[in-house]
Amino acid sequence: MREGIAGILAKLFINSKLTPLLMATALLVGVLATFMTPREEEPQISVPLVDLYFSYPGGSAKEVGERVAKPVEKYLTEIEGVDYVYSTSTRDFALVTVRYNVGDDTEESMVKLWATIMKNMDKMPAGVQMPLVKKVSIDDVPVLTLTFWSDSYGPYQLRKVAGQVADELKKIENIGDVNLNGGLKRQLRIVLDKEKLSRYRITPLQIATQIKASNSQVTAGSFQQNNSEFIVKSGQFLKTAEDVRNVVVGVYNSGAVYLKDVAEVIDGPEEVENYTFFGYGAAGHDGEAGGEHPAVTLTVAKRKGTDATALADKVLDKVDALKGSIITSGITVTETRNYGETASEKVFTLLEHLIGAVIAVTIVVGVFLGWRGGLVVFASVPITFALTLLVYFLFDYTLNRVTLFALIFVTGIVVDDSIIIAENIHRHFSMRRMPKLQAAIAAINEVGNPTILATFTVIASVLPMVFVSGLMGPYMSPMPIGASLAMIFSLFVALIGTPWLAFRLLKADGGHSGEYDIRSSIYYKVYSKTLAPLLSSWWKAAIAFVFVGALLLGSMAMVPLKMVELKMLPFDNKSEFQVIVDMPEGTTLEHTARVSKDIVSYLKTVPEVENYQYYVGTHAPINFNGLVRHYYLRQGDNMADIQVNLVHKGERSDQSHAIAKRVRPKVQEFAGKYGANAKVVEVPPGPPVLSTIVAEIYGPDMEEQVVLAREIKSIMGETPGVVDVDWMVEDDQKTYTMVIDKEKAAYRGVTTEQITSTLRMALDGVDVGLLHTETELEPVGIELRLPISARASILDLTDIHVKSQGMNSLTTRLPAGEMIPLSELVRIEEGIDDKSIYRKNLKNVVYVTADVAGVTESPVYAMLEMDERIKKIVTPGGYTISPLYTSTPFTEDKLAVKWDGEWQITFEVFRDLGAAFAVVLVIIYLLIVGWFQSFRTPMVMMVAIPLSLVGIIPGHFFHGAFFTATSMIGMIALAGIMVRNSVLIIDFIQLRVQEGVTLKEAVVESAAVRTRPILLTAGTVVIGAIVILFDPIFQGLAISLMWGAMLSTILTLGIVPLTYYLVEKKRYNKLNPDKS
Amino acid sequence: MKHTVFVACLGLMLLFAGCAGKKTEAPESPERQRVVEIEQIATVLTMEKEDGSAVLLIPGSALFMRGQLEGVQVVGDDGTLVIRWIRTGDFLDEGIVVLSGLEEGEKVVAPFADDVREGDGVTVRKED
Repeated sequence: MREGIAGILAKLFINSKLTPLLMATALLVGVLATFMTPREEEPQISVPLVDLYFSYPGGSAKEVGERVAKPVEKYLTEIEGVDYVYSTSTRDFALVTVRYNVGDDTEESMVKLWATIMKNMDKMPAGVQMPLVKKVSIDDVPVLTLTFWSDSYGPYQLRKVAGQVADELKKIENIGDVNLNGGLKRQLRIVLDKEKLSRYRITPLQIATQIKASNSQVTAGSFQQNNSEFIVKSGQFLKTAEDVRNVVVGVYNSGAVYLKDVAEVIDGPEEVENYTFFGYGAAGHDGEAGGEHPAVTLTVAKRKGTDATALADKVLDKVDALKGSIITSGITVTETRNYGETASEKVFTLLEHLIGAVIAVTIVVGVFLGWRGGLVVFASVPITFALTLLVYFLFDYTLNRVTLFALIFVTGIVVDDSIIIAENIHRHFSMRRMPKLQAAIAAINEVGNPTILATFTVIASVLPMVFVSGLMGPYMSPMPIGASLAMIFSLFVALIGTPWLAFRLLKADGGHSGEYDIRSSIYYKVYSKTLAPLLSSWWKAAIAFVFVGALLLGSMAMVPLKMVELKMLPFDNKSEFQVIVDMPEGTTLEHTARVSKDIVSYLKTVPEVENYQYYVGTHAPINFNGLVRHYYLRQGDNMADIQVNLVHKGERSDQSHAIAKRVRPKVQEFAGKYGANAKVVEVPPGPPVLSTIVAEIYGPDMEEQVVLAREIKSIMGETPGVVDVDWMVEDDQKTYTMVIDKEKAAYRGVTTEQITSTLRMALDGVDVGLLHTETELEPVGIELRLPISARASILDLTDIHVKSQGMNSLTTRLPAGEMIPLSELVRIEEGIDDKSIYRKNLKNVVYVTADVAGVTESPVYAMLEMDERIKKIVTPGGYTISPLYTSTPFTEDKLAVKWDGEWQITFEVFRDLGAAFAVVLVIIYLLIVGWFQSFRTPMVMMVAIPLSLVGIIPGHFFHGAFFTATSMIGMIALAGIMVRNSVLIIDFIQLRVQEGVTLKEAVVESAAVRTRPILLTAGTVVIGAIVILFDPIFQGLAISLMWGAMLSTILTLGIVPLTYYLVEKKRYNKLNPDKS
Repeated sequence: MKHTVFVACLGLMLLFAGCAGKKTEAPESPERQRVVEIEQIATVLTMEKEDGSAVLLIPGSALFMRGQLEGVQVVGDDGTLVIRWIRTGDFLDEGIVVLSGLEEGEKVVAPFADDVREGDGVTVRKED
């Protein structure tokens, strides 16, 4: 008999006193690691994403695009590692977003970016200011949001209170960014009085200059006297409203004019620029939807690599402690997001799953091997997981939904090694051919080496998943790494721990009387009835092959027949969704508030809604999705975000996706009444994208692109199952351009700059400095503006004056100081505001976005359907368009459409997984060739791989589930499991043939002997998978493992021995002519 | 036979797996609408200013403040009351100029009623 590594290891440890100590230590460190590894919701994804904000005052959208965005994009694409460069150019302003390759180092990327910007800053046109560079990362997403609401306090007081609380919270260690959403800041407002201004001959510009000039204080220096040093300060900051009121702004009739003479100075809340409300829904605290309350939301982010649960708990404790002191009785604080709790919940659900799976597996093993056998296997699983968790901890992984997925995924597989070893020891004990110790070692020798090989085939099958690129990469990589580690540990446990346990726990008699003989077992009887006839008759064998082939083809046909649909990732059952409301550009804040309120009035009657907040004019606290979609930039009178929180998933029967689907038509009906676009946005389970369906329209001319985009938008609107259609083309907004009569202005001694600044001051208000209070937490700005009633009639410019600079202006000889009404210098023209220009990787693009829900849940099918109609569009150039799927058009001389969004990631993932699968097959082949030293045998073993499809595809059909990326992972892992089964069978056949049994007898005997462990391991895979069947994301994996393992095991047990026999028959007969 | 037990177990588990998860009753939400009597309802009017531009006007008594927010109580077509946040301009003798948040012809409660909640039904008190 061969003596392999397995036998040597077993001999060493089977009677060693070290073995139990090793096992206990492993268990202990594992438990410690579980508690020390930080828990969080989302995996740590490093996608360096940087926003660059360029300000170019006065530039039109087109000019900003050409002068600023384009050159910036050009040099940014030169940076190594930059994947995408997006830009948006609007009037006065350009936003350039740089996305690096997934997994690149953030700090290094930032350094490269800075170096490139600095290098090229001299090429920027004059007037472009240094860009604001903001890094966006996953840790910017708040893990906890607390909404402060009250009926007795307004948004101004609420923000003050929340600000105080935020200041206190910041003292907690490991806390990240603490921010406030909604509410009104303190501001010192200087409201100008037009009439008084003209009476005292004072201009707004003059006031701004005077305030700035008097708001200064410096340390002038120091002097020494009597051996002491004294510091001299000069000037004095404006500290109170009274200080500001008493600023002298001009002279009139030889008397000083104070600011209070010409303007009202108000110290208090800023002008209302957002409406933020909180309210309970139908499932709220007393079971009824109540009214709404002014609110401010405090958001808490965490520092990278810290435990979300621990942080959230600490923050909540602190907030409780502040109640009664800072948070007064009229204010209620409601927890409106707690990712710490959800992360914790996920971890505990996993632990439940694991324990459930382990118990179920133990029971199954117990049925076959008796309770002692069950106990042996039961003890080996926790040790394996403990060691894997320890490695997670050491490698700085966090416990999140992806790393946990890896553990769930291997639950059914890690017990296999132990089962195979324990089963064989049990069998050898029952045969009673040798004394107990020798029997155990012989048993390990027999299956040990094939088990090692089998383990490596399973590792080989999952490991190539590390190479999935793109955004999905970080979601995938913990899985192969975790699973491979767990497999290796399980191998060691099986070779060291299991024999030790089995030797002590298993009884030598095993319940059988007399010598155990395989020929008397039920398996042998079944095989001699079924397999043996197939071996002896070629046409019976042929029928068997045809039957299996037909099954395989039949199941594969279910995919094109749409009986099983492909989808990237299914929706998770979250407890929140958002409604994003966009009104036409030019809508007032109050009207947007009204529309949002109307939508909310419906949403709060939905029975599963616990509470809601809506943010008009500002954005809701972002989530991971909003981060990628740049929702944090949403700020404007025509925008509103509604955050809807549902009751805990245990208290409702519908999943969040079903609820979102249910409310969508009604929400859109309400929005449609006012011409608003409302999107119901769910948190995606995988990497977020701009939108599920994105059509990118490229072309030579912006107007043609927009025309085509409009057509595609209407096609999307008419396609069933496609919802939330929108595009990134703004509506026309009326603008008034004040055209300055330059000649007249020059003649009167007024500069253009004077006029534009005056207008800006009157309408938009200008910041003229800070009020230097020493107690306020947030800076208090001093704003100079016309009163709102006067702004409403701004077109009447007769009351606004500028002062002639006289001879100082060098353009006139008239005396300075003349007050000239603007109406004499300016003429008003109506127009349409510039539209934003979007560019992606240096190409002009128009985006049309949509989501899918209802008839089709998978964007691919909707895209294929829309393709038919898009192909019928005839462009102005007289050609037709065929949408692109994998790459952007090479040239832009013709209009072109490219599908993006979820599709792009789906394409990348399935492409990479497909490639990984091919590599898997090659590696498995190499491994088996190395072991069996034959080119043919591995082929026989790999016959089993496609057989898993017979189970997987109909399984998805039976459950009505989508074939998702997790299904694909299950399928790849099954390849390893199937090959392992084949290895165990064929290795035993060869062993028996070497011992002198005829080939036919060896085949039947081996199939019979190996049926029990193979059924057992398949059973554990199935049982392990059942536990996760109800999880919306892992369902695909569960179905693949369950059905694939069941059916392919049954088929493998028949087909593999049969094929092996047919392949080897000739050679065997040649070698052993006497026995045939 | 041990295997039949196992197969039966497996079958049973699959059967359970085929059925959907737990069901709970969705909480009941309907509430009886409260109907409140109020003194007077005013209509949002358009007024032409001297320079020819048109502005919306509401009676001064309709406006209430909650903290820093300016609101009016609007009576919908179905007689249900909602709070609407508005932005006001000049306070004129004829009433308050509304810059945004209301449309011509909408009905507002004037003077606003303290004891009415959003969602209540509203009727005008009959003069005795």
